[in-house]
Amino acid sequence: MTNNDEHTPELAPAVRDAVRDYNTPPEMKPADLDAMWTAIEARSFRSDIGGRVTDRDSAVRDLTRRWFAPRTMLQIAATLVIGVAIGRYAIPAPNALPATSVSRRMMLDTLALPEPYYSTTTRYFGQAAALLVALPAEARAGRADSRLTGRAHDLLLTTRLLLDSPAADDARIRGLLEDLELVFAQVARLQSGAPQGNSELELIRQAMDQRDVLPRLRSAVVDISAGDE
Amino acid sequence: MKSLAVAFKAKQYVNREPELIARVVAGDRLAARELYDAQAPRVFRLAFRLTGDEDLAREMTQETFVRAFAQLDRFRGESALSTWLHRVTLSVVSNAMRKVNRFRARETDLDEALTISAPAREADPDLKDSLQRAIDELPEIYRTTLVMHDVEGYTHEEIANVLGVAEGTCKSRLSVARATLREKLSPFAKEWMT
Repeated sequence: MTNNDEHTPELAPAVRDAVRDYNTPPEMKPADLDAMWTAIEARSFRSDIGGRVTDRDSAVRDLTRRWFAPRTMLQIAATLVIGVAIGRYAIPAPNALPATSVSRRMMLDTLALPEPYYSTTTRYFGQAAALLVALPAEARAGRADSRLTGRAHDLLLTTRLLLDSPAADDARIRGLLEDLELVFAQVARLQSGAPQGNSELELIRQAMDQRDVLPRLRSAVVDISAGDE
Repeated sequence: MKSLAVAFKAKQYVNREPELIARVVAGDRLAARELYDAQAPRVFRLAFRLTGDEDLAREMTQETFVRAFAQLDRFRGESALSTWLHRVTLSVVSNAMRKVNRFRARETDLDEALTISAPAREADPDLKDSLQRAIDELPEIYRTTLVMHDVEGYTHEEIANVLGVAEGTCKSRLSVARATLREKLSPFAKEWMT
């Protein structure tokens, strides 16, 4: 306490001590801080700079709400096993050419990226897929280590750069990048080893599955490669 | 050792604060979370001291940060970020408490109307309760100054910056607040003023 001026007479010591007990705040626990942050995050960051609302921000906010709606979690869990199995084992086979060819023909003019963006985007998609493929195993193991969150943070920065580049001119790529931005933002802020981090990791994984992020990512890689041919 | 670690972390944060602010303005949520982690406990403390209600204090802390992030691009760094944030907190609390007090006043009127026939029974006022009530009843400008200075330990300079008044004004308000408390607690003078 700083009562060092003679113009402000002190209170009696007993009163001064009692005054310090006025509305004594409860101790803030990390869970309390997290809960408040969730509300703040949902209301903020709807803008790129200075609080201006953009369509993209609204979409991201809506998406977050949809993704993490508790009632969808059971549905997701039911489809999860099938989704993961398809995602893991549906590696493009050589005899699957007809479908791929159609897909490639359709995408040729829309996903042909200028060279500087082509290589960056291709590399980014590869790294994103690697992290997302690892996510189910990390979630099963109850692990959200700093390596994972660090990689997610790096990818989050790249995602934002790509969102502001011509690579995001295509609506599908933009949609995918926005979904990836959300995933990486959530993964990046997980706390290493925290129990709530593990359950959040599981939620992220489920939400990712619901939005078909991984299949869309694979499809984008194929389409970009086709656009380069 | 723990306090050393805390102090080191705080110093690291202070050094990074300008960079974090720039990143938040650019839309970086991780930087925003870092700023929030560093500042939220003190914002919450101030909000709780002024409201005395945990739910309200949480709401006001959230509102403070929502407003702060929306206006952060206007922060020129002329004062410390914490000073600026506490100014936002006071504005949020002040607006909210006006509404809360109007609502509570209506509730009280209704309660009094319902219990008009029952004779009021004066319980022996507890000294601590009296002090609590005396502070609650201080006009806002005096209560805020008293809470920030005598309860939360802000300096006159800090309070003056947060409130946007001269230090002299701040001292004079504190003086009035303390004098009012003394007067209201005079019935307990023997017990308290020794």
